[in-house]
Amino acid sequence: MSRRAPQVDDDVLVQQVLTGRKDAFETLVARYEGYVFGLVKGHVPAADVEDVAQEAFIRAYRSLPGYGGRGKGFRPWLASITVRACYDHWRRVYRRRETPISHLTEEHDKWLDSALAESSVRILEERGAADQARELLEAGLDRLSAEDRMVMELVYLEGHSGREAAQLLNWSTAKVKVRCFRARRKLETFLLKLKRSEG
Amino acid sequence: MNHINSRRKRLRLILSRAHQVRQAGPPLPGPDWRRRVMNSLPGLETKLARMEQWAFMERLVWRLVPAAGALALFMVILVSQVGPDPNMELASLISSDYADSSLYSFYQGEYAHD
Repeated sequence: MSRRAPQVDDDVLVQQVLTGRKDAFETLVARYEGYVFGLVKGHVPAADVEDVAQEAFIRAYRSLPGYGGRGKGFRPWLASITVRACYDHWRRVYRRRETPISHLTEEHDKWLDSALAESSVRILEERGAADQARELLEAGLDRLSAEDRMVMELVYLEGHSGREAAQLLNWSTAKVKVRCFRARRKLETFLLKLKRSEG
Repeated sequence: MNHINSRRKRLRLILSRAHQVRQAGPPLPGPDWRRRVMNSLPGLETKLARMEQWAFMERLVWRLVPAAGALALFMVILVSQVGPDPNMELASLISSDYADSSLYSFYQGEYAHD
């Protein structure tokens, strides 16, 4: 019967990396790559996921000397670094205007109207619904700034609290709340074709 | 108002589901990607030092921009005040500077024997 070797604690691995054992970092990468990829996939386009995840681990490696004594554990620390790597990705993209803004067609409008009119989730499970919804989401998010985009993804779409999002982005909770409120109004105004006064 | 609120709730549900699909995304990249991450670590210090230098230069350039702008504005005002008179061109001003010739004569008279 094979016995699994006991897993070395994250903090021990961090200490090993800091004393020059770079192979210990590979253990951390292997342990958390799935988690980091999961986070990154929700924030950047599929084509950029690998690069941003790599950037997150490189930043984590560089920041390891400042990790000690945080008390919260390696996972939330790495999550914060990853989210900020995603945010910086969007700041770079917006600065260079690399991605064109997605536009919606009449077909999207019609689909959204029928999806909004139904009370069940049936329409969302129909064939092609996932693509329609994804295109709507991307068109809406494209109209937001990098800051608003990140806040909306974390709070509005993933359901993090303002405090959690603030910790992940290293912002104040007030900033997250204000950003989220404005960004939500902007997104709803665009997608629901609401007038400003209705918000 | 209730109608708008229910549409908002519904919209959030639709977008959240789309976001979940996006998060499911492509599978993990495997050992090649991990090797790429590990291979990027040894040269990281040198690369970072180089990037720091560039960042410093960039900051320096941006800090000098206002001073350069003010100087350019000053020159434009100066030139517009002086006007296109050829006697007032910079070269003429330098060549006809009496201070130069007086210093030269002083030098010739007092220290020529040295």
